[in-house]
Amino acid sequence: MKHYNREELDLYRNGDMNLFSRIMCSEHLKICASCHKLLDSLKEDDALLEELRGKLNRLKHAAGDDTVKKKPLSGE
Amino acid sequence: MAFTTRKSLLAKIKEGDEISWDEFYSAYRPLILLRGQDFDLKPTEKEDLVQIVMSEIFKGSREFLYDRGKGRFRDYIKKIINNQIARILRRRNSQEVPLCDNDFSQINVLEQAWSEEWRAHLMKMAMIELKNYVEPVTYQAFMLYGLHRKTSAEAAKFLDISVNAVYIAKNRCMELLKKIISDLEAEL
Repeated sequence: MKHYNREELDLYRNGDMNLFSRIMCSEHLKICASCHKLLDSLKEDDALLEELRGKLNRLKHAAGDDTVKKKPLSGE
Repeated sequence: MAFTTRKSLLAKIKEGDEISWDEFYSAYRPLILLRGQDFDLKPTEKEDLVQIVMSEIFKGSREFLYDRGKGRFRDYIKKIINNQIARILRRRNSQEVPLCDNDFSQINVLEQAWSEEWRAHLMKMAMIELKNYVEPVTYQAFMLYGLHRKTSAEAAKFLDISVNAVYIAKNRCMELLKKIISDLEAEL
């Protein structure tokens, strides 16, 4: 049975997989506890990232600096 | 593996090395200001607070050494900040201006607030540390995708890397960041 790594699961959950791969991954997740656990850990990372954004913004506003100022991308 | 040889502020605190005023000021000013907010200090009072806390720590010198015998660094700096806030509030009170609602009687609330502020500070320090442990492009990918909410495709295009590489960078940085935060929580 082929297991998925973090990056593949990121591709899956963010819609960056092609349709066939996505269906395969979805079916696999229904029966694989370890891959499901890995997927859950990515969601936990999302929560930590959200906390990180919030906390850095709070410090930024308190200090009036631009620690997490949005950086413009080319073409924006 | 570190990509820079500059010793971080955290390493200096941990190892008892000399710490410069400028380095300490830029790292701790936001935390001190945030603590001042808990007590509804006015902007000028908050800036005064930063200056007197810095003076208290550096005691007229341009550098200071943290003596680990003083206990945990977070408790050491909290005590200094709180003492100086109390002085500012007492000064305010002596000028017949009533204390704000957020005085020291709300100790539980203030302790909770301090925990949140300290964690925010640790996260900021962890981000600075992280930069020393990953390639610049990895850090940039993490900043764009993880912190600035760019899509993986946008980050990939901007950095001229694959979408998969953006996810690799994000996961690598998350793994390191969790370890750094955990180490800081244990050591400071």
